[in-house]
Amino acid sequence: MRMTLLAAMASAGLLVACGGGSGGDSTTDGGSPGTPPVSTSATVALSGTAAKGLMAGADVFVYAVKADGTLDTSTSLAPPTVTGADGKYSLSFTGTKDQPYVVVVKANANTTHLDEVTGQSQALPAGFTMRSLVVPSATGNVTTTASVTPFSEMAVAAAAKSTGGVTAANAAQAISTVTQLLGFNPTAVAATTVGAASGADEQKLAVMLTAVSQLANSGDLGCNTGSAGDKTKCVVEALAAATTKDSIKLGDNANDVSAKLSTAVTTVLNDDAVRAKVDASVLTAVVANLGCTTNCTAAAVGTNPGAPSATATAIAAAKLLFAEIKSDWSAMFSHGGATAVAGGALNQEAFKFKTAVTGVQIPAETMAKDLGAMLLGVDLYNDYKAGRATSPSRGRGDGSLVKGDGSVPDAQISPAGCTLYQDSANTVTATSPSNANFIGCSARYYATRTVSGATTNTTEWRHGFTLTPAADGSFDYASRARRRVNSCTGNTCTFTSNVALQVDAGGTAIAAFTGKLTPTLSAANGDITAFTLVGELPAAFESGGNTLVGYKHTIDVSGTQVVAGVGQVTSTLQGSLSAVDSAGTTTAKVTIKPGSTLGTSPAAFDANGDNVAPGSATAVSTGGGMLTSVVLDIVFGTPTAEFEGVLSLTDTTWDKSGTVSIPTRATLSGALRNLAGDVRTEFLKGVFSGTVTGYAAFDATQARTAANTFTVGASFVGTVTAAGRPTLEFSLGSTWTDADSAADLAGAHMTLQYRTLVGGVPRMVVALTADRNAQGTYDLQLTEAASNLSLRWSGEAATADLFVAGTTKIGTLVTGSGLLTFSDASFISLDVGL
Amino acid sequence: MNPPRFSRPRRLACALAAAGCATGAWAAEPPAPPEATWQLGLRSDRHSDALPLSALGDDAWQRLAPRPGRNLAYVDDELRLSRTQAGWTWSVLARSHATLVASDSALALAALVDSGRRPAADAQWAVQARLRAFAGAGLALGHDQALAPGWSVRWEAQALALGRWRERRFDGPVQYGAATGTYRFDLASDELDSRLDFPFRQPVARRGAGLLLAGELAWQGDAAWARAGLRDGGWLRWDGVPRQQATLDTATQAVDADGFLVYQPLVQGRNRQDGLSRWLPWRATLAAGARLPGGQRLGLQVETLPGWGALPTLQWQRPAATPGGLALGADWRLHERRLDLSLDWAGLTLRAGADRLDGQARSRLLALAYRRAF
Repeated sequence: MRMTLLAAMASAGLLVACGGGSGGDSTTDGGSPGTPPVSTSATVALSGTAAKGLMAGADVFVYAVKADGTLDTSTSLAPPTVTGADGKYSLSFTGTKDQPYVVVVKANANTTHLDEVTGQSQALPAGFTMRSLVVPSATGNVTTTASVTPFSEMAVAAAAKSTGGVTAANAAQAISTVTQLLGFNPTAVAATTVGAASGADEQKLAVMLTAVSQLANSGDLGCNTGSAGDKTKCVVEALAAATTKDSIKLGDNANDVSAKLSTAVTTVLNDDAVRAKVDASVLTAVVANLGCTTNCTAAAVGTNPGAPSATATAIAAAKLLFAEIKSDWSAMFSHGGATAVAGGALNQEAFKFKTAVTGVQIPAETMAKDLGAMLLGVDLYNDYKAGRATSPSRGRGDGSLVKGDGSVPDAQISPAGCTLYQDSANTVTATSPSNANFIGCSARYYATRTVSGATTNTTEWRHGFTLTPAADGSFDYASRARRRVNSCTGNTCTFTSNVALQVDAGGTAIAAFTGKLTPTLSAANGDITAFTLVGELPAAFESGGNTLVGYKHTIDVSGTQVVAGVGQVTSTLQGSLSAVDSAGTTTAKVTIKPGSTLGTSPAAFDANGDNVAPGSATAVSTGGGMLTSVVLDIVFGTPTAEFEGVLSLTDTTWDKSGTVSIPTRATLSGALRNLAGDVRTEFLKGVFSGTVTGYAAFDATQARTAANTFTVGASFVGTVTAAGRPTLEFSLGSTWTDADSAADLAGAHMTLQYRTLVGGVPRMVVALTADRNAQGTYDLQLTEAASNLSLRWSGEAATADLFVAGTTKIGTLVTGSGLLTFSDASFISLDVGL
Repeated sequence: MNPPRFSRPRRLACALAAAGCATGAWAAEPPAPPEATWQLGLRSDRHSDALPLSALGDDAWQRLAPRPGRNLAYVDDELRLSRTQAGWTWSVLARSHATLVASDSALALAALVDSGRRPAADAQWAVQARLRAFAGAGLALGHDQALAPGWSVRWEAQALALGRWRERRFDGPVQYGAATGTYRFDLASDELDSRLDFPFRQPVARRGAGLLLAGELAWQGDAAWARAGLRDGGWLRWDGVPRQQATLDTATQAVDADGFLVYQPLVQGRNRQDGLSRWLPWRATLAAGARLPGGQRLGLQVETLPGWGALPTLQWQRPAATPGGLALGADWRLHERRLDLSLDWAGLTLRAGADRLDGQARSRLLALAYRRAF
């Protein structure tokens, strides 16, 4: 808005009117919309690459299409030529504007292809054929390219099997459909190897070609007989057979070729050599599209390329496209984000959700710390009683989990700690197994420390537990929220205060919250192999603080635990924990569904008490285990908002120095909903994934440089729904190098594809790619498959051209003003109304 | 009655060169000198209600201080070499003229938007702005003729080759809603600019052409005088001159055939290059005054500016006592709040005026001319 007004006012000359003008001489020639063609003849100079992988020595022909839609293979329109060792070919022929022609590549006895999986050159059998569509977009001399690959073959096959055969309309729809599936036009993108691919689209095509090779090498799609070349031929034909012009789904549910190809893509992307070149996020949209199970109908092309007013039609389509894009984003989002006055429907829902959860204490921390403390105490009790432990006290966990003002070093506090006592008041510490009668535990949330002379006072805000062993092996517990002061002078420490924080109107401590923990122990060494916990817990401390929130929690959880070795523990957890206020109303509830697991791996401590990799040079002691994998299938809800989903953090990897570990795979899938009575509005649903590659070779103790870095990939696949607009299906992928300097970000990439669905039928398929170039700016490309429009601009370029069919320029965007001017002299602003 | 002090060609040149020579316009009808007279004159007359002249040409939005209501800015620069003989005057001239009339709302809004600040409360503006500007060089032919004792008529025609032509109209309402923090506007813009560039622009003629006319009827009595004139009316033409018409409308929301909300672009429009000819409206002048004892003159001149209205001037002059002697004059331009002083001596004319003398001046006149008979 501001820029628009400024531009308008400035151009009104409100200030500079009297100061003269700028600009050059006024006789600059502009482009011309052109004059009506007097001839439809086109002399086409065609070049490209034949690749499954790169095909050497293959014969190349160009055929016209007969009136019945079949190829006229009686005569090649161009003298037959042969592909070079790199798969490249070039030829020329005379055709007719807007009419489809087919380039055919055939293997002969000498033809080979570079198999991507094996890296070997392989012979291709006689009869191996791939095709690609060429549609001259203008009269006169036309220079164009066409890659010939299994994916261009899919488009030709889809057109050929349609009613009427390879007509202009069928060809346009078939190319559009394959483009909608892949996120790029396989005919227009140069085919090359993964290692040589430049730019996201070339990388995508290279990976897809490798995936075809993967299918052949694994004998998939029923292609498990004959030579390697025979299998490749079989796979290419199977892919072509599975393609139709009206759906992005390959095959059907009984013969799910999409799923097979998707699996092959995933396999390829898990290959270290490929991952080193292409992050999985680059293929986010392709994988998402291959996973399509509903709404798989392809968006219909909205134009007739053969119409006399093709340019006018394309301009109208472009205006519609940008209006739809603006509408999608304006309706979803709005200026200022998720606020009470947000105009965007998604922002409105997001504001409702934010409002619903603001101030609501997520009880996850309470569950984790309280449960962990009690299980720690039971473990300690059993070990001490059995003589496996000699100390009556034990602490566990990362000190950084205890919040505070920073005055307490992490190494000197643990979030969970327990001591065995002789008396129920927890005042006399047990001295032998025989007098270890009670367990006192603390789940610590906040701590501060002051020093007065020789005395150090540590104040802890905690949930205190007293566990009393029962005859049946269970433990009854009582718990209060407390503030305890531990005063230490020299090595002598005394609890000088232990105040119950929840009191009644008269200032008297309310009754303790109680429950029962029932463990199941292993016969061998008394490890807890399973447990149930039912009861109540005190009010939670606010996240990061020491103020109590709510009144109590009710808990009903159970879990299992398998100890595979020192520090190697796998746990399961399920159940629920509800936060309840003083009126008895549930304010928040976390439900952990079956299948949720937690895993630890061995770790060591360094001299500072920080976890380091076992065997690390800085390790001074073994540290037991540290949490290295999390899979939580949860529902978190308030009375008016709800999140349901699965959080997965896996593949924890130490850096090269062994001092820092991170999960290198993260997935969060689920949905956000607002609840109003019986109405559930699900406004965001999807899967967010993140990957880190190269972390083991990264040294976290050294500065980030181009050589000392790792790659981060992130993707989001999901749907966004807002009232009054079609549902948006998103596939967003991004990859970048974690670096300190902007220069090191060169190569960062982002790809976005989204479809608008009306009644389950796509209306538009918009793809946007952005590649960070060496200059630190981004090369961007916007394409829309249904209208075959593409807008490309690079870095700080002042203008960007809009093309239809990739070659016919119908508009120019002046990036400074945001005005898109069409060849018919009309213009619109490209604003999203935010 | 005092004898006339100025020659007719001098008067004509001054009359047709707008305010720069206003004092000379009072001269009585003199006998035409037999010899040819050459005159070289340079004049710069600039004014801006809302902005110091030193800031013109800069993006000095924050220095804007609009007057209530409409605000005027103009530039009249001219360099002219004339030869006069027997009532006929040929001139070679170069001139630049621009007039901008803008509402205070438009200027205030521009300053606000540029500042990046948003109003604390709901606000609305009525945006109106109109710019006319051209610059060119060419020839002029003029003639002075006595009609009857005390009455004279004069006219001039200028044929200009234009180097720049620019017109812009911009108007519509703008509102700001504090609750939503958003602007709403419905503006129409029509811009014509010989240097306007846009994608797909067709070839544009290197030069435009202009034919501008002027005429004046003057009466000189014993105790009073009066005159009425028109000037700068005529035609401007530029083949293929770029023109851009646009609407800026925030009311972009509609419903499509499927019942979904659709948002149209904020800006829509069309470029044109249809070889435009346009009539430039007259600037009219009406002046009258009294002749005082001692040859002094007092008068009131009202000039109307197209798109703006009247610009009044109070005038005083003390003619030279002898031919070639010192003549003095003073003008008070009411709207410009500017005092112009003039002197004429031995063929040399100097006029200067300003509303203030420091760098914050918003109105300034400087004219210098020299005439010599051959």
